[in-house]
Amino acid sequence: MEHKQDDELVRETLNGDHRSYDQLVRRYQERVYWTARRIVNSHDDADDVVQNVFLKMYEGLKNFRGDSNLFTWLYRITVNDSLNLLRKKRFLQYIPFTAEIEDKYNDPESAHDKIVRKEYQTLLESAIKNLPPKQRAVFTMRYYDEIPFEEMAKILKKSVGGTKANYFQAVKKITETLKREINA
Amino acid sequence: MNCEDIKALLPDYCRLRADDDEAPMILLHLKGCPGCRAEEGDIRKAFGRIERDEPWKPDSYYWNNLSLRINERIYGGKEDRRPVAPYIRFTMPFAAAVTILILVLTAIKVPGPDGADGVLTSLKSMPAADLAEYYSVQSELSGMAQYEYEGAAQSGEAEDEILNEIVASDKNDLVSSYLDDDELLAIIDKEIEPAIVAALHK
Repeated sequence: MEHKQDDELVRETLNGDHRSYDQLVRRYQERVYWTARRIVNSHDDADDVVQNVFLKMYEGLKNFRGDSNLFTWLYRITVNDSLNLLRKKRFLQYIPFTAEIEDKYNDPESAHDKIVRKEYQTLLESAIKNLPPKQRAVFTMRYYDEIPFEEMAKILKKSVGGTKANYFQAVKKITETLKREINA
Repeated sequence: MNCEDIKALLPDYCRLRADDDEAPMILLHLKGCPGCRAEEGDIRKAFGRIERDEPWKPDSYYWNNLSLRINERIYGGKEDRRPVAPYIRFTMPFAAAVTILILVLTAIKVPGPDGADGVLTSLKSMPAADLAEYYSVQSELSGMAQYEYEGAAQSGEAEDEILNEIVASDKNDLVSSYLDDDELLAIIDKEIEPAIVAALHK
């Protein structure tokens, strides 16, 4: 397949070419998925985030000015959507729902996730799960995606110093959890 | 820099991501600070563990299917977000209106030679015996009704009463098939019913 630049694919998508949009999705779907997955710590939730991110991308392409990299833009949406999803879940924990709805939202893991977790969830994923949402996001962004602190600060609307401190706190908590689990 | 400042930089330092101007300062501090060195050791171990981490990964089916699902949500299905073309904007309501009109017209039964009147004409032209047979077949009366009637007669129950029940129930079935037509009811009362009675008493 011919390798086209992002801006070319964006232009073609705006002209109604579905295949160009499909190429953009396929180009970035894995990166978006893994960023979301590490923050929300669940395959099902990451899947929801990925779909929403690409829907937003489609709707926002006409306003995309192209002065920043397309992936940078997608990355911001991904981090914010992942954090929003975690926030929504935490908020829903305090609302008395019927048993069925409560099960779905109160439990951060779906039935499918539970099966997957039993077989595949690693010690690290358990450690990350214990982090507060923003620390999870900071850890993912810095450790896995190697985003500069300045950029992270912009995405999370925090100071650079605060973001660095958050990263250290996240690493410290993960280190402690891993130590505890390994020694247990 | 104090211990807190150094500790905040340790995660990047352990992964060789510290700034060039910060790295020598961290190294110098670590040489003289056992507390921070212990912290550095823990972080290195944790990172070593993370490096070996193999999370569950979705398979290729998931990746192929993901873009299809996203496309489905954008270009088709319930969440169609495409701008609606002007001709579609008018064509769809027009097609819906035509469909509703057809449904309404077919619901109002217009009497005609092929409708209830047609059946009525045929019934009127039939001899009473044929009419009784037609009615028997039509209402599935012949087998069960006759059996019931004969059984009832043998057991000494009032024949007329049972026959009336049978005829009444089947009359309703027949009539309900062709609207509430008074004329048809009259034919059934005057011709079909006596014919059935005659057939049953044979």
